[in-house]
Amino acid sequence: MENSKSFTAAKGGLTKEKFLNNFAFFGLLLVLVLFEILTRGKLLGQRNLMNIFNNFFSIALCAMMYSFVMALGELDLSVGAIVGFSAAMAAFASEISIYLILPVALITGLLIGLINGFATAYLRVESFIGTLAVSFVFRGLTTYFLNGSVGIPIAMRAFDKDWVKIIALLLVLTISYLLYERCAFGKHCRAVGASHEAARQSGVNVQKTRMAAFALVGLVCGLVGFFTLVRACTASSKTGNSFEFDVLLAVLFGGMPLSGGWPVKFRAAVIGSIAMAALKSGMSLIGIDGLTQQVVEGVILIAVVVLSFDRRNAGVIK
Amino acid sequence: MNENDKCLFRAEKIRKTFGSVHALSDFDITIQPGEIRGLVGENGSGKSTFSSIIAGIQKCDSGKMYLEGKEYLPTGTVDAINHGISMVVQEQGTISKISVAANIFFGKEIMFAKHGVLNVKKMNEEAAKALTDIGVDNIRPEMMIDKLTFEDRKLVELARALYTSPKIWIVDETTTALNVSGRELLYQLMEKMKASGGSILFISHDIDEIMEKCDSLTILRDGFLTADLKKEEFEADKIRQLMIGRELSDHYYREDVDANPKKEVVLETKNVSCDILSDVSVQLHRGEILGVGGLSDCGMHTLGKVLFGLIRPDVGMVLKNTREEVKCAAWATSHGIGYVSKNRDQESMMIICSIKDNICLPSLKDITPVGPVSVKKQKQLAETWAKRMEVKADSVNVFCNILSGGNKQKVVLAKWLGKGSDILILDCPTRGIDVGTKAAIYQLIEKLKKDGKSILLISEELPELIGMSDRIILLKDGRISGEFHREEGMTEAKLIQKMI
Amino acid sequence: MKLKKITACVLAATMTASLFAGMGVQAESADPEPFTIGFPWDTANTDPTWISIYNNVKAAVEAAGGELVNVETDNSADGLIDNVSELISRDVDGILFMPASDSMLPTVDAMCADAGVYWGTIFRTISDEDIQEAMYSSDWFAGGCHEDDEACAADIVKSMSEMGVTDLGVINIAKGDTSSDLRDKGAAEGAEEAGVNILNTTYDISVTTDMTKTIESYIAAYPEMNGILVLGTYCEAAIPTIEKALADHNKAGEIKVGRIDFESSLGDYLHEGTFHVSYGGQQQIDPLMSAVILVNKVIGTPIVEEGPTNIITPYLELTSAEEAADFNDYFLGDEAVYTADEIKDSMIKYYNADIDMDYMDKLIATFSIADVVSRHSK
Repeated sequence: MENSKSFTAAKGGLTKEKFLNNFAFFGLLLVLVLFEILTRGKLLGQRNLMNIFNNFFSIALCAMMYSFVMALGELDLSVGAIVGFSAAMAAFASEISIYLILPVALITGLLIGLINGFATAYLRVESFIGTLAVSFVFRGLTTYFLNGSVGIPIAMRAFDKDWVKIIALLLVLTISYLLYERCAFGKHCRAVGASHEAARQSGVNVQKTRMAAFALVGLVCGLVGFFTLVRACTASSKTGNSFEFDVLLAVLFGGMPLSGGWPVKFRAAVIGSIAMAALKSGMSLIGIDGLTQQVVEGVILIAVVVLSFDRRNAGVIK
Repeated sequence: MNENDKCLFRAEKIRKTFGSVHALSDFDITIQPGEIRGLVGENGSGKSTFSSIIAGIQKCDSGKMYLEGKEYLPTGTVDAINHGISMVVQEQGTISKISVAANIFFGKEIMFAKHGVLNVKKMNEEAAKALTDIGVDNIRPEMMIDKLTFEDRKLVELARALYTSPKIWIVDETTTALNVSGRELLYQLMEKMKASGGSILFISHDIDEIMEKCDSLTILRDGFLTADLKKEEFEADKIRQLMIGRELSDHYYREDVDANPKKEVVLETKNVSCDILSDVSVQLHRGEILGVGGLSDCGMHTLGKVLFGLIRPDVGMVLKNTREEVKCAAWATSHGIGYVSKNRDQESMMIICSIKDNICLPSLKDITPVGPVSVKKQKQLAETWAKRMEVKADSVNVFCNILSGGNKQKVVLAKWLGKGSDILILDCPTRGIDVGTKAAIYQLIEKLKKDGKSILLISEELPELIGMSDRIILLKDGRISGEFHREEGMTEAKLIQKMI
Repeated sequence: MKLKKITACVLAATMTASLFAGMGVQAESADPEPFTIGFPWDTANTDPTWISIYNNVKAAVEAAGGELVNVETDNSADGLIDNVSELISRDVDGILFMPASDSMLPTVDAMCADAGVYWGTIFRTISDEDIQEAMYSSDWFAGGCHEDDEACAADIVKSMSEMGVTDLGVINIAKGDTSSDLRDKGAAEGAEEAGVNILNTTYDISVTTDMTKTIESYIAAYPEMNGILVLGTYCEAAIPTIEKALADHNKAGEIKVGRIDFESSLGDYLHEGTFHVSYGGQQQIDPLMSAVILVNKVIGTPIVEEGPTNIITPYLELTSAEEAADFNDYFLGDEAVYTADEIKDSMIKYYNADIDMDYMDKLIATFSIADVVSRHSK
């Protein structure tokens, strides 16, 4: 906040700077007002708010931890696959004991996150290629192991309660906010994203930082996997399908630049997730068909990437 | 109007502000055809702001520019180049991960495209010609730019700037980035261009260089024009005074000759071989200023990185206090070693980041070892050290991309001082920095020595090494070729003998 | 800061406005109470069959004066649960969907029971006995249609065997999918009976490139293969893709091709003699009938008084180009396989008190390509 304040104080290009700093906020507002009008008030009706919350819940859980990866200037395209695979493993674990469901989901997520981190930090694979490969591997394994779908005891639906979700959300929100905005780790992530060499030369352990960021995303995907599993009581090869794009679109919509570094703000994860959930719900409410929804999402993606592109980072190119 | 017709370029009442900082206030300048016009001023005086306005990188808030009598308002760098204005900058201006030829013709690839397909062969041939034209023959156009040294990359930039045969060529503190032969080449190119009727706007910190090369001189101070001098009016002290606005002593190096070394070794390399270095053993003692010099590719920069743990030696080891091995940069940082890189903008600091976060980065774990870091203490740390280092900025929340070179370097130093590092490895700390800041850095180094800190000063400038060091080690082709002590008296002649 | 304040004000105003919105008065009707049926369906899929499924459901609901509410879905278990939740919040009276697994059904039933919403299924039966028992005793499960997948698969293998097929490469939907598993079982039985050797079965093909690769690897790995049978797939344009792959390897016509579930391009290949037999046609009647079952339940006139209504829809056999052309015109066109009047008069119990299970079975028994052609050409 302080940064944006000092920037908006600049006289040159006042409105533009201000707009760019807050465009996520405007975007959210636009989505809410537009659909509130188009749906004649149904969007923010009490019942639909619950739907928006359900959509928001898993996207936001993941998006908040995704901030670290975005700060690094990296991408993680495997989050959907992690959700699917950890849900599958947890479903198998439920056959041994239902108490294993949560731990197994979390550990599976964490392990895949560590693989992503290892590939990016130590093997120096470009993150979007590396995580895409990991995504293929675990999507394949999910399909192979599941052979369709596996159910868990219906009693587990007890966890699909709003208060459980709100507690989980608040917990992840608090932890990730503190880690990102207040702890050394979050600052290290942004430093690495701003200039990994400068970060290294300032004593930041670049490799460990990268590893940890991907591990955190993996862990939280395990949690998302758990909640997805208890919601449907089924793990299928489609679980977590295209989740990576929902999350990516949310953080980009929230205004996180792909270039990483200090302009990556934590609030973008939250604002973006709300906007995405509201957008999806709004489009569905006014009955836009699937094809048009894809077009709309694609156009938004391009628009936000262009808007959030930080020209200062491209200063070398003349 | 008469004067307008004669001059090549004229700027009137140029004004530009960044926040509350007035980078330029009603600045006027006239450039005649066929002259080398110098532009000097301290860091932050507005030189680079002005050159970037002419080159179309940014727009001025108010004021007018005329080129050959017509109003000139560049819409961008490409437009500026089309008008015949091209520029070479202080910092790295090449684009990494593409070839030399692609760099020279960046943005102009269309020249070699046929049916949308790039004719790489033709582009390489043309690039080779561009390089030969400026007298460079050791760079092949198909090479990746990253394989080149910093100096050679600058030469590629020269080739790019001159390929378009500009009317006005802006040389923005390029000489500091070049080695001796590169500088000679640059001077030749400037003379050649002048002879053919083009003009050069030459920006430099080196007053001797300015006096020797320029035909006329414009001096800036805090965004104001302080003087326009003709060649016959040149006088070093006068220029310096106009720049700084106060009397400045010539003696900004240390004056004592007493090295007063302690026996205690704080950092050393033992038979280190890696990269170009072979079998190098260097010892840095407590409270010592150890100078390391040599030609630019003699391995001295590598030595600095090895000592800080950025490069692991193939053979041998780096020890702190004769027993702890320096494992990596993170270890070095937490054990009181600080490092200032030669490539400031790429390696020493985060540009798109506030002064505060730059200063606090290595100290976060010291402020609060585990858990949330106190926001107040971070601000305190940053403000204390930014103030002590006299960083010129509205607040510590300002992003570093709008700071001048000297101010950036002050932030980098503040980072390590704030961390309280005992051992500082400074690789060309005064490169591309104005006299005022330079003097401040020398004073700082002297003060640090008095406080018992140990400093390894790597420099390509011999006067600086001689002026500051207790002991100088010279490297040649990766091996130690000589060692000099302050008490014995050191002269440039003696040093050069061991360097070449 | 000021900006944020303004933003917050606008937001608050919007919220307030929303309280007053949506309070419209609904019109009265003489017929059954107006009702809405929710239907999660993937409308982004432009395959003619998928579009026709949607059209048939819509026709059935609208014929009885109801309104169809569509939400976009990926037809995955958790996706459908979200869809159900969304539809419930949109105040629908019934929800019709294609289940992704048996284990998701108790969740759906619990959600619907809480909200007092009826639900029905298309295309699927419940094979898990415990879940079946629980669902059949639920007040909110209206029932649905399904096919005798097992018999259908066995029959198509046998009819391919009669065409001379001895070694068969198989493609199926996905393991764990109810229909898919039944068809596998049926195919195995049919193969054993007719002495056909099933070489391999590939599952979960969703894009044409994977289909091409699968066929190519079959050709490479099994030179003896003389038949390809698609027991089912979610891959778009499956048959054209297979035909292209066969033609590329000069195997078109030589290898007999069969498919359960019709698709729009079959006629061309039947005409050329490179495609041989298809069982299907239930993809229009099943969703229509399923919707009818749910609509009757929602109106309060269930076809069967106790428990869910389950109708087994017949499959049709397609072996000639003429039949295929008729199928394309009358099944995959914009119209449903029964007209609105036909649905109203002979399927909605509210208008026709004679309707019961026997009545429906008889009606279904007359359903064929020729039947649809004759009714629609009137």
